[in-house]
Amino acid sequence: MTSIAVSPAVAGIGRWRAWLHDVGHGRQPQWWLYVVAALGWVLLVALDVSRLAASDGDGHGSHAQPTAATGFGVASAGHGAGMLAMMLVMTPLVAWNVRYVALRAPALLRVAVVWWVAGGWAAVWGFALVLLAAVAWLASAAVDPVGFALVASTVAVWWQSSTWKRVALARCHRVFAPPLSRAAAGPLCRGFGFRLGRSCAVSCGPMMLLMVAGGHSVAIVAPLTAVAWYERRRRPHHDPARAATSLVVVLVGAGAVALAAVAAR
Amino acid sequence: MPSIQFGTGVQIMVQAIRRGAWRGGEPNGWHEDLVWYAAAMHQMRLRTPDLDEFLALLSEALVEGFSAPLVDGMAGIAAQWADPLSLGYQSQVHGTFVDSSQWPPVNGKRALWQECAHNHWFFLPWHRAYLVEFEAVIRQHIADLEGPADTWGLPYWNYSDFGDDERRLGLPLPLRGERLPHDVTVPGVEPGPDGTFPNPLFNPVRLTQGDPAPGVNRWADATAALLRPHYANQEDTGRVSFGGGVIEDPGNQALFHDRTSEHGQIDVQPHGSVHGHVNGAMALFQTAGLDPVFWMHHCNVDRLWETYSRDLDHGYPFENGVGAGTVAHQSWTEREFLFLRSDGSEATWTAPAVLDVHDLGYEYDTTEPPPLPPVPPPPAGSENQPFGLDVTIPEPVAASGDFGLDGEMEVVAVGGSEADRDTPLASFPEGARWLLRFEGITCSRPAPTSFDVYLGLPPDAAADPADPTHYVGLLSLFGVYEASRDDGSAPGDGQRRLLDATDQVEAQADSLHPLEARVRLVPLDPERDLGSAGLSVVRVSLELA
Repeated sequence: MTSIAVSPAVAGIGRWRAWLHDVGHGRQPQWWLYVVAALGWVLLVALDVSRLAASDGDGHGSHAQPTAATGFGVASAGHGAGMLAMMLVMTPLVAWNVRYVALRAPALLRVAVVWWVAGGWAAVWGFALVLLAAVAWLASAAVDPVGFALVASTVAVWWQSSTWKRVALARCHRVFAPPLSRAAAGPLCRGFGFRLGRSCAVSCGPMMLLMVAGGHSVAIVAPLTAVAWYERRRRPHHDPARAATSLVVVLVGAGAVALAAVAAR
Repeated sequence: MPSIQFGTGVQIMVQAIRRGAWRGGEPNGWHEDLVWYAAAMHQMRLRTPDLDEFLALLSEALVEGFSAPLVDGMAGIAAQWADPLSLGYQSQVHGTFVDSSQWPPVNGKRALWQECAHNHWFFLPWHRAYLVEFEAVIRQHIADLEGPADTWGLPYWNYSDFGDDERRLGLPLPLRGERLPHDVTVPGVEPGPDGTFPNPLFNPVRLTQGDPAPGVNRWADATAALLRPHYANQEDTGRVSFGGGVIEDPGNQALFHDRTSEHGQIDVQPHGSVHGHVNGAMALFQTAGLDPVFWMHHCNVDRLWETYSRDLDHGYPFENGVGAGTVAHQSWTEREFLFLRSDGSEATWTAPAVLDVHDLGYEYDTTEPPPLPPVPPPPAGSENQPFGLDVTIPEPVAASGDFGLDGEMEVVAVGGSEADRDTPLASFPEGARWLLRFEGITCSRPAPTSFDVYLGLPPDAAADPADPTHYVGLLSLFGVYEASRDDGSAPGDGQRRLLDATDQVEAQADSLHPLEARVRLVPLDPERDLGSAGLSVVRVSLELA
């Protein structure tokens, strides 16, 4: 039995090198999904910075938050970009599924398969984000931003332990083997991506609503994305993570409410 | 020599020999280790409330289907099995219907259930640790009965070295009868109202109870596994290894427990095929441990790992230092297997910690391999480390559409255009490896049998498993039902399997057209109810690497 130890730093570097090696050998055809996610994070940070600069410009010294009077700002260009960024940072969550489908296809089709599946997935999320924006818009007629953040937090926390969430989260692990011909594979891959997106939207929709309520600030989006990432690495069932993830959602919800309250002053 | 600390404060030094159930002993099959195994099993059953009711529900579910009320009923019973010294608790460590929020407390800690590892390279080390923990529980019961706890070893069912004696293919005799033979006394077992003694090793829901069907032995055959040239393969290399695919991310619970598809050959056959053949409680992760044969089966699987590593000179992974420092090695070293003991303490095992069986306090009466054909040389550099970091990803050249599987079935995997279909094998890269991949295998209840797989068999030709030109191997389906459930307990898209068909493709070099390849599936147990299992396959593909 070997007793050779591996230091975490060396192992970490080794893991990156192995991954880059895989990319170079065509074993990670989904690699650009991570680039898309990185762009999403850059966009979110840029939006936060621009809002901070704008609020400093008005001399209020706090983050400018959307208000009920503007429909929580969901129709503004900045918030549209924020919504898009929220979707982009989620793409690594399906990288594993996308990779699986791509590697079951002939080599010549693998890049296309990634696009097809990711496209189907993104179509659902695009619709879901419009839906979330509509919900926010409608909610703005009834509650102020603090109330909206409170409601969104409550829904997101309750959702964590619901049966719908559990079933949808389990389905987020699904994979698929496409037909070999381009003509047949395209529609079926898009369909698979669509179904995958539907499961993901059901699983994470309420958390996305909370992100909207939090003005898609990085401080809100980052921990909720971490929750989604963590959940994907847990077992779809029989896992004690629900209490832990619910606690994080509670804390993030409290943060969203606090942000809205500060902005409302 | 290791020591075992019992919850009662007793500490004993252990060095036991695990003996084959079908080797020597009395004509009735019983030997001392089996008698004490039965004695301990009896005590464990006594500590398992409502076990008979649970088995009755299971029996109904296996026939009628796993409806929510039946599953909930079983879960409600199993939620009571809080005693780690009970058979119920130990079985649920492998799998459970009980939602994690209902797992019972054990000395102030929550039970550690549903921990089993399949479909990857931790399958063997996790189950070895599981057996060691189980054996300690058995020893504690034997000690309480003032038996030979320090020398007792778990007997194994040696189906894989049946040789010319097909008797060994049947369940060991002590597991068969509902009542103990008149000349066998099991300590602690009291007579029933009729004066006879119940047999603690009997389980009423098995589909296999008596003598084996003559000539049908593939479910027990370890040859294909023992001939694999390497223990583990890197993910997506399209290689079929002995122990399974590497998990490079040891902290990813979803991969560890559910989502991998790189089965080792031993995981599929004989491990999975024996589960499917015995069936009943053995057909499910959640119930397999309730059948005493489960532990004897896994003991044999564990013995075969020792055979592969020692007798066949493959060594254990990283044992010779090759591959040390790689991501795979880090994963192999870091992944922990946790078990909760009766005193509330947590046992933590790793793969490297279970590689020396003498350190673990046991050895086998023999690890000699069954008769094998000449063992091919391993691919260069692959013998003692995970194989395939630089191997190209397999290319599917032909694939079928989806199909149901309720009996013998022939499908045609096609690729390219109509005009390409008669492309000869010579047009493909020489020396390529050929694979048959089954995708999206699902079922609505546990699969009642495994399937023999043939490649390129003409439609009018009889299927003969002794035909090396066409017979590829066995498709066992243990675990497919669990992965097919769409109730939040699993993704619901089933499982996948990979068979190495290189020899069969090369043997048909003059006749096989890879772009129009016939694949025939023949059930191993055609007399069983195949229709109600709802088996289906999304795609079977012929791939080259």
